[in-house]
Amino acid sequence: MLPSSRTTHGGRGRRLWRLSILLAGAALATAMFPGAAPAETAACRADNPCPTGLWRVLPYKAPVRGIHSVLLNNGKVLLIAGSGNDPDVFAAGTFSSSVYDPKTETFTKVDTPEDLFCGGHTQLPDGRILVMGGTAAYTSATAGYKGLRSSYIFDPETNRYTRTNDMNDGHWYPSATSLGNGDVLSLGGLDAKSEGSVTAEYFSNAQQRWLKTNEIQQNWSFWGLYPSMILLEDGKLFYTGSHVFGNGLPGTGASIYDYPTGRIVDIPGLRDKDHRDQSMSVLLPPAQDQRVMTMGGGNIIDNKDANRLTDIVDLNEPNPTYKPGPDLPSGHNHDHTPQKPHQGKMYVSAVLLPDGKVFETGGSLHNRADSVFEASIYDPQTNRFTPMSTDPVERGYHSSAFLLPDGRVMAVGHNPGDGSFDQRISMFHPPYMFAPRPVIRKLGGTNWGYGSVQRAITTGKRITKAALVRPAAVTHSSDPNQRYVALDVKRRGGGVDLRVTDNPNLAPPGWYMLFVIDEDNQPSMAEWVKLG
Amino acid sequence: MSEVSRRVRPAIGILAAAVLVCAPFLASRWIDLEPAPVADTGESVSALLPVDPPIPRGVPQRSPAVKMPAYADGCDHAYGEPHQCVPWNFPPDVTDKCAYLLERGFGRLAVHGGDRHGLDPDHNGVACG
Repeated sequence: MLPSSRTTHGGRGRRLWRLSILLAGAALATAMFPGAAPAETAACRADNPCPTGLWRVLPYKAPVRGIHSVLLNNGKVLLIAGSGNDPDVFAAGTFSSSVYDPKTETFTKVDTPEDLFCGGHTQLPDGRILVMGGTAAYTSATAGYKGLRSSYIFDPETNRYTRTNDMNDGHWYPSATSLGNGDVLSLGGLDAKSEGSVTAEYFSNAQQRWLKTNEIQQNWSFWGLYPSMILLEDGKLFYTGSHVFGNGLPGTGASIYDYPTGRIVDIPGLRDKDHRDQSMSVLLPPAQDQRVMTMGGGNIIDNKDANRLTDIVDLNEPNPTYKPGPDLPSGHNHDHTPQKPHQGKMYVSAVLLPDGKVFETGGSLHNRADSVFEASIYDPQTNRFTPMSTDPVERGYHSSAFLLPDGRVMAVGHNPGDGSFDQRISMFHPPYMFAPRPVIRKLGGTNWGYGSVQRAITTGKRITKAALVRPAAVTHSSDPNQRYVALDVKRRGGGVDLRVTDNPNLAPPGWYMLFVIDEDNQPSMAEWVKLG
Repeated sequence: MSEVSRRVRPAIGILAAAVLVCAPFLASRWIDLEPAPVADTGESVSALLPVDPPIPRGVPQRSPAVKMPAYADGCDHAYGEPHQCVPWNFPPDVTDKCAYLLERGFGRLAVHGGDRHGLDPDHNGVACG
């Protein structure tokens, strides 16, 4: 742990004042509505249940530009700025990261050895964070950004980065997909010469190193920037068509990549595939259904209005095809005028919620401009969006949103074209936070094996569902590892038996948030378990 | 165990270990796929590899990296500072580009080189000024 002098408190005075006002009611409210902040709980009660959720903009700012956000297995959030899209910071070589604790509302400074801005990241099976690539050079009028070959592992126990061996190529905007064996595959981005990298990079978890190119199956394909590559239950990867910058890939714009053989098969049906720049794709809950939704997107080059399209593909079908989903709800523009019927948004953030639904928020209409205020919850069972309250803070380029263990959704970042950066933090309290929730009182253990049955003691209403939710590692509307893995639930005595999938491709090894869900579809707060 | 076998068995073990350790390098000496050595020439890198290289099964020969324009991020960096983003193309319905930029927080912008958008009509090196 770093010295406490490096930990800062945000808005302590204001919080103490508020807490003193609410002290009497807070204890009772917290007991009834675990996870909900006292002020919001007081505002949203049975007589005013806040069916569209509630946003709270925190009274302090993040100390760094939270362009990359990774939820750690201790419930804290690693915010990586690197140079934070500030060329002066890059020139000075003063890179930054910070660990935010949502419980204590404190930040801990993290020494950041290199410019990890625009790198990739994912959790390793032991809970440490693998970070790869980043910025080797900024752009100019005649030369583009250049990618780093460097890679680091961040340890949540020490809050330190440790360098690994280098990758084979530079990567600026690489993907990072955790595989069923605990290894990591990283694709795409710009290389050290600002050209599109065709080198697949493979991190061996067993060897704790990036393999050399002649140790890796390559097909030398260019996958674009931050290509959304989702691991499927058969071990293949699904390129959803969601990417960053410009047109989609040639062909249908979506494909299945059989990494061990290098074979690529196009998946048809993604509409307007060249306007899926900074759309967002999610593996819909539960992961066992193998359905992927891609929502929104635009194109920073032609700069036409971003779209409202959503497309859904069922990858369990013999011949998977994207099919149209319901349009994203219309929002309003920065000047409070309603969006036109065709208008949607890029820079979408989509977050899997513990009740098995998907929250989408943030976005803009054009390249780093014209924020859209719209948020909704998509229910995969009914195939419908329900509009939600909108983040009071604009959330466009370099914004992210992600689930916290208590069920809140945290939103950070906004970097419009004028070069400014909004470091405010917003917290969304979904509607489930304002009704009684079940509580996980006891677990038989926290080291879970594949195919095992785990015991949980809960209180509250009858438990009908349970799920493992992988913690976020998100940037640029891309978190291909986000997944919600349903557990088979069997009630027994005063608790439930939870059967875990026996397929590591459905739930790659690592730390997960365990949620139980009651008969009213109310989710608990999470307990952390280690799978595999 | 005889004296001979006591001497021979370690030697055999060492030899076997050496073969095992060296095998991957022997097998891979034909192919060194470190970052593209001559991608700048535009020549296919695969053309420079040894004839019939032992590439793993199912893997095609290496393609060169993909050329990307400097405006891949959608910004015309001939204007303003590197962290700013004057769009490479303005939204199709924009008629007054400087007004669009002004409404979105931009001020006067230095022009570095070409003036694609015609934002510096008096050619004083300052756009929208």
